Amino acid sequence: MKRTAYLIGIIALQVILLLSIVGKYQYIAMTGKPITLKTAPIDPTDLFYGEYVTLRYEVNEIDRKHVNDQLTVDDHGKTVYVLLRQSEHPWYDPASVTLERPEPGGNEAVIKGVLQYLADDRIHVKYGWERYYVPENTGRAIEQQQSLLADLRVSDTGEAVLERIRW
Amino acid sequence: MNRKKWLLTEAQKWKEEELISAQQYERLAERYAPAAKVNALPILGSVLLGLGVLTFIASNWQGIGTVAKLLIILVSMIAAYAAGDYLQRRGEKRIGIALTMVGVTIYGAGFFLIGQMFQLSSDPVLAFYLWAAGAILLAWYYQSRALTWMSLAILTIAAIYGIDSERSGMAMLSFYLVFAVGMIPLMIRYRSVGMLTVGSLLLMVHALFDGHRWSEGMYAPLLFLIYYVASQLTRKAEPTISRVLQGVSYLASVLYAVLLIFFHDEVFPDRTGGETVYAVLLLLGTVYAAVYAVYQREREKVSDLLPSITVALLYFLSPVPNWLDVSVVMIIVLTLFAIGLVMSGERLRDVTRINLGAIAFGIACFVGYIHFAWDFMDKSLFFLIGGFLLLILSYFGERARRRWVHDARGDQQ
Repeated sequence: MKRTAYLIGIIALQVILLLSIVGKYQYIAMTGKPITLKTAPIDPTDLFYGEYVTLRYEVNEIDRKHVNDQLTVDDHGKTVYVLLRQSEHPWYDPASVTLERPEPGGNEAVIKGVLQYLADDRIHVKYGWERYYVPENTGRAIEQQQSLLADLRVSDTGEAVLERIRW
Repeated sequence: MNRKKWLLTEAQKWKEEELISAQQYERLAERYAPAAKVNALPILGSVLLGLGVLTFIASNWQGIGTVAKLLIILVSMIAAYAAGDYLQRRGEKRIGIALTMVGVTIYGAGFFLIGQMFQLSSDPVLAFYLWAAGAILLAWYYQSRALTWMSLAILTIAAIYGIDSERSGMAMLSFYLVFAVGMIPLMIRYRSVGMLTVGSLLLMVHALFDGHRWSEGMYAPLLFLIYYVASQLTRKAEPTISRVLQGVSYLASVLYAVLLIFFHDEVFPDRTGGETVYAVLLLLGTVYAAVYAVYQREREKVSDLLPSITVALLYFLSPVPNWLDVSVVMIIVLTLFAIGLVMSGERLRDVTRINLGAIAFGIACFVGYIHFAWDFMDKSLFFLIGGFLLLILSYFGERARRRWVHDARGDQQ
């Protein structure tokens, strides 16, 4: 019976692992602060995840003037925190980029990303929510949109869950 | 026809000729019933079932909600595991393992479903490593070769799938952890040449990809040398593992030499502080391996180290002076390496070595030909002569190889 206990342990481990990933993102989806970002679509397919729309957010390319810390080429691949602020339009705009996590104010939110590379006038940041999975053969409709709005939930730590896109 | 089958057809005749009674025939038939044939059907069935689940998830069908899908995944996974375990206890080993494999596939599908639920796109390969980890645990639990192969397959698919995406530090760490703690002990346990080959190639390819983050290129020959030294150290205790490691290091060395012949400007690193450390290690390691070979009374194998010593020396000479053509040097080294393999194979009575040497020799000739001919000749002429040369080479090569093999075998007897 000890053997069975091991088997149940292994299976339980697998279930817990799957559920803990669900739990983490469900928690963010439920408690996170809702924000909206401006984005544009591109449409490929993944062998395992199916059809999706790749989103290129405005926050993927941030103007150098918002970068407070002196970022160098050595910082490629590092985690950066992007402070977002909402003012004139419904979506949030980048206000600053730092290596340390800032405290967001009332109309602000923080998202965590990875610095991809530095260009002369802008920096490229990846966040891990650049894909929007769609039922097969439905990507085209979204792809044809020039620009989209993406509704996200962000946690205090800067992690985010993409909930829906609209136009 | 195998003996049992033959016996049963004969017994059938005896029964018809009334040499034996029908009852006696039955008893014979029972006693010599053919053993259950190795049956690939359950495995095939489980692969199809698994693919069905994976593609269903990938289709992202909206007919049922994601929560229901998650429940289906978890319940069907547990059901498959439970059924698999039940059948294995009942002695239905094969179909039991097949069902467990279905369970493992559903487990993997779970990651993709969750990815869809929350629109995740960072670190797609990490999911594969967690998937493989789950499979490896079950391979250990059931002591199953089939599940070990499945784990290797998952890691291989992950490597192909993730080839264009930069892996995060977390994903890298998970891969090496899964490999070191789970996969390597399983590979050592079964000592299957196929498993060891796939596994050690997989590990080397990953190390080559990841090493690029820290080094401009000198780590690559060092990595091949590490495989070689590992094969030297395991030669007595684990001959199978040693042979596989040695074969993989030969393959890598030959490919690396070919790469240097054509693209040494791109591949060969400049002399910088970090690279020098690797080069010094390469030099010291090569000397160590040579001394070890002599010490182990395998002086013949010292020629194996020609490529790595050359690469190390070239590094310390760099920037290479104008009179020295790296391509020519590497072609000569590759040829000597091949001849060394053949000659040592002959002396050590090792047929595989001779064959490997013949292949390496063919590659050296071919590469040399391409390198020297490309600039001077019209391309169609190049292909005509190239094809002709290869045919002649293969004729003489095969004849020589046969003679060597024959001699080596003859000496053995």
